[in-house]
Amino acid sequence: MSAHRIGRAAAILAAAMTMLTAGSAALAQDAVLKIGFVGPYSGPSAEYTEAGKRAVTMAVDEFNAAWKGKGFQAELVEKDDVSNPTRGINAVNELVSRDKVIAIMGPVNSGVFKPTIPVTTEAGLLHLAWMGQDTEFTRPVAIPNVFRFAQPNFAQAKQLASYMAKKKGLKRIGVIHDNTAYGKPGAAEFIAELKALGVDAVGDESFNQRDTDLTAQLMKLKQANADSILVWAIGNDQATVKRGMLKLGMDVPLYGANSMVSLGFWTVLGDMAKNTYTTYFDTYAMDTRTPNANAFAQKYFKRYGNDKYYGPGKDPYFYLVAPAQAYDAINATLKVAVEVKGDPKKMVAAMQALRDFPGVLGTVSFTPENHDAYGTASFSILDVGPQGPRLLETYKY
Amino acid sequence: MLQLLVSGLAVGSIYALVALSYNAIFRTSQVVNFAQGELLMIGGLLTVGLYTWFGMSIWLVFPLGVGLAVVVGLLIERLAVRPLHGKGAGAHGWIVTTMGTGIIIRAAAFIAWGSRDAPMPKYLGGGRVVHIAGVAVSEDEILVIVAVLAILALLELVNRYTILGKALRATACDQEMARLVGIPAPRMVAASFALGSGLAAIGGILLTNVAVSSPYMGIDIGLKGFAAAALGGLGSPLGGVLGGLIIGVAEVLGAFYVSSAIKDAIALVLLFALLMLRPAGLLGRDVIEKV
Amino acid sequence: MKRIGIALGIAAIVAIPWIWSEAHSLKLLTLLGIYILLATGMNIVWGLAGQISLGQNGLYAIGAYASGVLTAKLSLPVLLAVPAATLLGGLAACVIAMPALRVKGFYLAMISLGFGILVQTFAKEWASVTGGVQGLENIPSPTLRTLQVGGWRVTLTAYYYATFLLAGLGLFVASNLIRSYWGRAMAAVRESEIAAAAQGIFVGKVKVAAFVIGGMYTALAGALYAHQIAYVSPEAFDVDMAVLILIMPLVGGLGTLWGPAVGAVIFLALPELLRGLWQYNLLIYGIILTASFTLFPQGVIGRLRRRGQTKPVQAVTLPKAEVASTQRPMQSGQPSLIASGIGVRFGGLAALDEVDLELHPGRIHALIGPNGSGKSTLVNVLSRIYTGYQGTIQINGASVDGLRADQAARAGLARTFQNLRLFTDLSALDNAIIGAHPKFHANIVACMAGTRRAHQEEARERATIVALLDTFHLSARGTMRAGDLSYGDQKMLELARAMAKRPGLLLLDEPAAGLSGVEIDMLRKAICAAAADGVAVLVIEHNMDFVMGIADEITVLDAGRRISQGLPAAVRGDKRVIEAYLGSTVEDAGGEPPSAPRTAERMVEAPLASAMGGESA
Repeated sequence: MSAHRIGRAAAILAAAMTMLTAGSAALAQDAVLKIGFVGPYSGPSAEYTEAGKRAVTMAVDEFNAAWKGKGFQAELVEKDDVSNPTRGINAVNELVSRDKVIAIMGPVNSGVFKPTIPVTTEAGLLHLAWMGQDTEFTRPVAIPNVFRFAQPNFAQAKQLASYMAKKKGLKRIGVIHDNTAYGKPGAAEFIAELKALGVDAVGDESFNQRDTDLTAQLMKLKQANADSILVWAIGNDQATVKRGMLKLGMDVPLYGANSMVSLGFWTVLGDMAKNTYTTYFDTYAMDTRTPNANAFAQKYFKRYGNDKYYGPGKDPYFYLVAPAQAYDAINATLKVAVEVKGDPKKMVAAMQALRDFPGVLGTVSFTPENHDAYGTASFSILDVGPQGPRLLETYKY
Repeated sequence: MLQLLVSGLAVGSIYALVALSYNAIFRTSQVVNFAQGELLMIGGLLTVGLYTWFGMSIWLVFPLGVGLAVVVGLLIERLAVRPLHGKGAGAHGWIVTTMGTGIIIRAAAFIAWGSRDAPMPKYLGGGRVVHIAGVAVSEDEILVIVAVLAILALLELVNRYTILGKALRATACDQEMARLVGIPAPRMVAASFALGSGLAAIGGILLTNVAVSSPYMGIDIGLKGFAAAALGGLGSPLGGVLGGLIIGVAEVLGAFYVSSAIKDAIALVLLFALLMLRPAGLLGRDVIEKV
Repeated sequence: MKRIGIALGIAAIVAIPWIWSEAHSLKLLTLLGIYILLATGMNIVWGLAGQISLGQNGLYAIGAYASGVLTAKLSLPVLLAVPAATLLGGLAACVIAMPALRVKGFYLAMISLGFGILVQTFAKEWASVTGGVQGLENIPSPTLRTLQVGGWRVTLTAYYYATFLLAGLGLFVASNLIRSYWGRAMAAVRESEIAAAAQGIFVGKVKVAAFVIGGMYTALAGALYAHQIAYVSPEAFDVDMAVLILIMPLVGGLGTLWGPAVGAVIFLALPELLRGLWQYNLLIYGIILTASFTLFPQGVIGRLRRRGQTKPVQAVTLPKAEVASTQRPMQSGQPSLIASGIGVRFGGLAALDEVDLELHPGRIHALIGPNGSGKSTLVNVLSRIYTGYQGTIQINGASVDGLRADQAARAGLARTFQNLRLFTDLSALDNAIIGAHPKFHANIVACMAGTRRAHQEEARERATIVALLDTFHLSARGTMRAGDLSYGDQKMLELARAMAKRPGLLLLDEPAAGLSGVEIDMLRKAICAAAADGVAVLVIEHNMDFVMGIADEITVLDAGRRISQGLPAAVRGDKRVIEAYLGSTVEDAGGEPPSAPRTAERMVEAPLASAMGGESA
């Protein structure tokens, strides 16, 4: 190849490289509070992203209306991670270096959130797990810049184990989980909690997401005479488990983590959703609700009507908790941001100093040891029946 | 054990159907359509979507689902396969282009379908469970197995005893020669794509009946369907069905007796082993190249 | 001038961190270096050697996990872990190479796709080592300031330089490989495996070599990736990654040196420019792939290149002693080849039945017979392309019954094909040089490193072959693409290719078919010259003038059997031979034939006799 062409190729290379990095403008110094929002916009977890986005958009609009002309405006910077850790890391990298956000909400999937933690920790950036439930984010040690606004796995595992083994006296529990960074550790924690109560699970089966036939796995559990099944998985795979159980004539109760409270589960199964239970925030289950919960529900209904998270009825249904988590997370963040005047370096300390913040799902206080917003007191057991989730009973382990 | 066998046969029947769809196209055009899984997926998704959210009757949505897949299949032939004819790119050409069309279909399906959930339509049997010889078989499993065998029989009849079948086979042997004899070869190739897409769509509809539908549906099953076709010998419909049933049963048995982790790997390992020992497949014929 | 271009490029790469020093930009540019390695590796496997592997993402994963595990879990120093991971990738590539030896095209594509998925499954299941679905974390990395080399902490900038150094090295090695005889051998395998074997190329070995080298590039890229991002999980190596690895060299220019690098730049920049949902990115990739072979089959680099250059090849003058000898060791007296009792069956058809043949040095032996009599089959058997036969074959006294085609070629047997099997996409000169493949001895590492010896060997052979092409009047079109040559030139090129290996045995399958009078003259001269040099020649031909003009001896086949053999004069008068070509004679039919047929017979017999060199009627 002649030098002419090599030179041309080199020039093209250089030009392309310029394009790549030219996006990184000089540091932004406005009164715009930029908050990153990362999650999958398609796939089985996309419904959570959508729930969060609706609430967060509502919160940002409220904030901007209140603070217009008073020094601060909020702006959301969204990134799609397609539930892929590499893209999640890239997205967070971009948010940190290029978009210069002052806080990041998400990624949604625990398996994608986890590897992004070192990036935000290194940058000293406030990182909110408004949906990530992996225990390790806050226990046994609180990661300095990570704060969780969700129901952590360990709480669910304890709750379910205690309810199933102690309250219901189930001794032959068969466990089945999906092969993801959500299902696998979740199921493992559940089995550990059972063991701590002196009960051994009679089986631990796994399946790949979107697998259509679980006969082999369920048969093994059936042969072990399971008196109940616990599933830890995302989305519609849980419905596949239930169908498989019914086909094999396994007439035993099915319990699941709070991922069972998803529109998909009971609309897909319809009548077949009987005898299924889970644990969830009971904020919208109670006959009487806190003023904050009511206020949020009304605002949400006014803006979005009977969407899939509010539900079809006049009263909001359980799923409204998902947007509520995001709502609390961003409101706490914005409050703290105003306090420190949008300085990203002070956000973490300010969040940790948060006391008695009036959230929708509870009053939020953080300490250096506790980065879980909701503690563990407000979960209950739901019956995920054909009409959708209903409160079965309040229970605390 | 029998229970597992039945499950395996039901799962395998879907693989068999996909294998048939690969064969239908390959027999006439010598092309393996890398977008086959995606054709299955859009046939299934359109059917489920129309049924669920537009309340259309199954007599309407089934033909529509199949029709969409056929149209897309014809487009694939027109855009990704025909232009390559005589360009000398060889197999690599249509491997890349059909793969490209598969990616387009998948991406488009993602964008259109988004994060929706479709309830299990139950349009082919209400999931009632029948007990035969102590084995629990659900209606739709029986349906799937019977449907695939019926389709196989129908295809064989058409191939052997009708002019169309003979024309398709003639085009497979030698396109130039077929033209000389008056067979419109390009139209035969297009027809084979239509046939293959239709079969894939039927597989998709059958699948949506028993599984959760999503744009991801096509990827794994496309690969396993090919493994089934190759296992049985590309070009032999009976071989493809055999291959599919073998893989289905092997998967279920493997998951039960060994570990659920190897389920996905089984199809590939079988294919690997077979192609090392007998590249022509179980029922395939060795092709001798003239030097 | 070329050096100036490269120097500019290097200067740009060195200068960039001083202009854009943010972490994000550096990480992105480091990823570019990694992608260049990925694309180049794929280019060697697919572009150069023609093996379509959709499983390179599996090797990428293996490299990443190997280096990650060695450093994060076993605390090995990174300078050991990365090379170890690279070697492991090369080893693992043998797993894909195995089916590549048996199957081609779409079978290989599907199996390699399956391989990638298998590796992903492995990564998910083998949790104790790989961390399973939760991934492998805490890999020493400049991003987390945890990467140390010899006590020194590695910064992002240093890592960037290191990556580009390796990428540059990779390009350098690839360039050497492409230009060496090993690279040519891979290209030959890509164009035609049968023809390649006939030139003495061990096709299986070449394929494995391509896979191993490509695998090492890919695994190295994986190791660099793991350390940059500090975390690996199975999702990073899914089918979308396989597609990306495929599309980069394809769009950049398959088979070229710079194509993969250009492709890497394009596909690194694309997601940045498109900023939108990943699904739209995927849509664009799909469209590019679908349109690729129709709209831009040669990729970006191919478009930049001018095609169809017809510069005459420069004859490099070397001192006499350096030019490889064109003399062949003569073994007079002893037959070069003895074939006894050769029988071949295809299904129920006996293509050959109890055929004997002897070839002697310096003698031209013609093989004639009606169509379908088994002439080509015999040549295929002798050149070891068909290996299922009865009977024995000896070359220079040694049995060759167990040999492969390439081994026979290396033992001194050269042949041409009835249906041309040139390496159509390669230049005429390259085609001829590949013919001399058995004369090259530098090993593959020396070729990749570009050692002095390798270069000298290359120059020597090149000079010899240029001289050879001259004798065929082809050197003026030496740089032309073989597929673009005229038919006559192509046939001469095939002959030149066969002669390039200075064979002791030359088998020519219908070399005169389709040639003009002038070209036939040239052919005759070339064959006679070869015989004069001591080569044993076998010629299959239908052109009786030509045959009678050069043959020292003729064998006639009919329906797989030898029906006549001997000196040309004897054979042409042999009734059996005439019968075979024309059908039964009058005598056999018996009785008084009607006058019309007799006239017809005479009308035919006369021309035949004259064609066979007999007296004019």
